[in-house]
Amino acid sequence: MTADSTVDRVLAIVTRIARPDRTPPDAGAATPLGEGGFCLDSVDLLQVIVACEEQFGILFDAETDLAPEALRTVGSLAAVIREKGKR
Amino acid sequence: MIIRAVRPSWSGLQARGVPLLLRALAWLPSPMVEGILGLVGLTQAFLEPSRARRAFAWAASQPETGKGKWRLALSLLFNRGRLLAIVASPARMTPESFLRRVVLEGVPHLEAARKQGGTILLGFHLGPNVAGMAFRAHGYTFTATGEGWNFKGWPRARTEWRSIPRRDGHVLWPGPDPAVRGAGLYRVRRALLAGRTVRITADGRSGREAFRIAVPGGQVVIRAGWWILRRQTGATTLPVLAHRQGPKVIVTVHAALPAPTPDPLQDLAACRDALSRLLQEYVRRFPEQCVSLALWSLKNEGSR
Repeated sequence: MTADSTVDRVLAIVTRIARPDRTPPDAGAATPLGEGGFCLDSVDLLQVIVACEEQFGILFDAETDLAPEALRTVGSLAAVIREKGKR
Repeated sequence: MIIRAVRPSWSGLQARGVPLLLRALAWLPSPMVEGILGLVGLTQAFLEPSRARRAFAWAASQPETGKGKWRLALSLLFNRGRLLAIVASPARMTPESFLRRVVLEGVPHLEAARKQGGTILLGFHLGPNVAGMAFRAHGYTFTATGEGWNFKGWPRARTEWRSIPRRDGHVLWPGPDPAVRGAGLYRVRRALLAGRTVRITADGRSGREAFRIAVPGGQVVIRAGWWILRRQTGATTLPVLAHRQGPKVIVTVHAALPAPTPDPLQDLAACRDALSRLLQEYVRRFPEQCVSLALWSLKNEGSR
């Protein structure tokens, strides 16, 4: 799993859930998932997490993987997924 | 030099003062404590006229006529204190005396749901908030969720409660941060998929709105978190309501909401219809116990 491909796949998931009306035109790894970016709410984030599990064939550790920092940007979520892929 | 007039914050005083008062009164019999707290609730309305206005506006929108409206408004204000005293009753009562006071109805619904797997106990900000303690006292463990109890120094339950099974985990999402709440929902999802029972509130202050239910005097804003969880996990969803009836408190586990359907809009409509019937009936029967709905200036904090 390369860094770029993980970011691209996470970005595709987030864009699908945010839909075009909430997707910033220049969305990328640094785009916040919440305010100032995709404006995802908690229900959207749950859907993103579950979609990432299905897409990457992983299971997040509910206690340790999903600290608020992990869900700040597309890149931070992609980094957690990459870390899980290595383990 | 600028001198500012300092106005007391009644909500701040309440958050600090009510737990102190409850602790100081813990040695008194429960009916007396509830009466004292009820009087505090009434007194507070005189000190905070906006609260009294809300109580009278609520009463005016109910079917009662004439003096009945006055009685309803005063009863609502009294109940504001009394219901808090009921919530604190484990500080005064042993589990045995609590069980004599708090009746759990609809247990067959709960038993049937738990046999099938993940179960959502869907709560509401209506009536006395004792469902959690009632389940615990009856030996049902569950995962508690929510923003947490914001009364610092709340009186602790008596030591006899230590022998009662504790909660099966606690998923807290303090504050409005969507990242914290999203991760919390994920943890609840995992608990439900593992077949656990989860207690979650449908009508919290924030979160995505699923739909509104019109009741006399207002609207109950139902959030989407529990609904998404039930769709994702297939968990049986049991609405739970509590009311005070004379000296008893009745916690009712209602029949399960219809099982989720593949079409989300159809499922949402089915949930809305079933919950509308329940909540409208509750407000019609117990308008004086709808303290939060009537008196909170519930700011809709929106989709978080």
